[in-house]
Amino acid sequence: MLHRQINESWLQQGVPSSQTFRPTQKDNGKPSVYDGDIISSAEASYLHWTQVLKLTSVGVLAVTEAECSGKNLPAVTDGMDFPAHATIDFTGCASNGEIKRLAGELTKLAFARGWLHQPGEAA
Amino acid sequence: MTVIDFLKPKLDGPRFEEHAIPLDFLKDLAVLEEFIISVAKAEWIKDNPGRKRTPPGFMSGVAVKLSQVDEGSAIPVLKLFLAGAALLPGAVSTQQEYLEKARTQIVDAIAAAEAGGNITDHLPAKALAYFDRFGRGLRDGDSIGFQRDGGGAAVHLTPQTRRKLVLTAPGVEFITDDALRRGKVVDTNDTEGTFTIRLPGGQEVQGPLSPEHRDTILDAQKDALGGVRVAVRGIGRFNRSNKLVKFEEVEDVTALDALDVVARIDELRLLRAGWLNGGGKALDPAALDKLTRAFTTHYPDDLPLPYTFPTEGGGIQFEWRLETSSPEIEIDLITLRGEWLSDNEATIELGTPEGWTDLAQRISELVKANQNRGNA
Repeated sequence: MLHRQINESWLQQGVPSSQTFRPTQKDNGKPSVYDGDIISSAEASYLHWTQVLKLTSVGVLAVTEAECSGKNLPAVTDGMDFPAHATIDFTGCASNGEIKRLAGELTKLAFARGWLHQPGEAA
Repeated sequence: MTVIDFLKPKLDGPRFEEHAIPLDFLKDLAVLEEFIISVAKAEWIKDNPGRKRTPPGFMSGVAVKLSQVDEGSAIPVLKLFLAGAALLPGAVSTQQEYLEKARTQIVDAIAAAEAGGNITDHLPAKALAYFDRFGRGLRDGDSIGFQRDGGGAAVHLTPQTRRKLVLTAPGVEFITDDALRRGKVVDTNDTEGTFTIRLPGGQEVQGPLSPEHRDTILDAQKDALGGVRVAVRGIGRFNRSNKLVKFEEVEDVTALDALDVVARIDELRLLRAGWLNGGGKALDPAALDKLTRAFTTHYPDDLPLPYTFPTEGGGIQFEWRLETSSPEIEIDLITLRGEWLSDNEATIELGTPEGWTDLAQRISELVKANQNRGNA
């Protein structure tokens, strides 16, 4: 599983924005995720994100490597910054529209799977 | 009975188009009679230094009445009715003299406010409190124009000059004005007859809990945890920083859809630069106003509401969750240009009515396609 932290502003009435998996400017086409095979749990990834990296998250959604590669989006665990650091590579997309479409599809898959962790809920 | 042409203020702005005056604006005009009489009495006392009050019956039988509405945009024709026998042509009663002086002073005070002059050169400070009620119905873009006695350019009472007039009076810390706020009902108090809404950002504002709105407010309080918000419209009390401190009167309370776009945009206004883990631009407030106006004007009520999200670049993205499709449009707030994404891609100019028609048509077709699929 590849864990993605969800920004508070990209959640409305419990529904995440299709931008959730879309690369941001600083990502250089490769948004960061946690490799669930390396980090112990979604809760652990949440705690690392919020307490070690001091960033904000309202919960954790996830996709699988197979779901990414099925859309020609390679997922690579690079261990940069911390051992479980991984990225989903959108740099092969032909257009911004394609990036948006595929990121939206990943969000749908992740949301259909359900929250792996939400703060305040039992792990 | 003597009847005199007294005042023909010219009402301009969106509220007065089609040469009509909204009924609720008559409240503003109704204040004029009391205002003018009060100023006339004060002026008489000033001219008679030995007297503490005006003679009994000094202003009895005086009435200011609306006799007709002329065109352009709307010009209420106000006549002064004076009790007693008509005077000879050209003769002026003391009543009339002081009422006309009062009119001149009020107009001069407005002129001073407009020109940045000294308002209290023209009106006593305590009389300025009447502007808290006179002109309260003006919205941005509205004005009341007055001709000055000596001719020359008209002077204008606008929401801005009115504010200056009210807050010039010493000791005045608040001004009342129309207010519309969206938030969650977080408290009701039957003993005190009040309710409290929490606005985006956390500020809490109290208002009177009137019987006609009680059920709506109590229902919204029950559902507040589920995200239900209300829109409250009424007369608000604002401090000198123009911050709403309470509702004095509540005219309307409406329960909002959970996806209400305007309420959601109110929340997104609070985002600061860096909201997206250090990235993410703040959203321009004036541009959000523009989008909100366009959305409320052009987006059809019978279509599903979108989810509303900020974008990293300081724009807005609307996302619809239909059963079989999830169209979205990413909007640049400066240009109001939208990048549509569904089964197809398109650029839609949401700065034009035609752009909104195009968007509505696309959503409508997807809704129909969903329904057809459901019926198949």
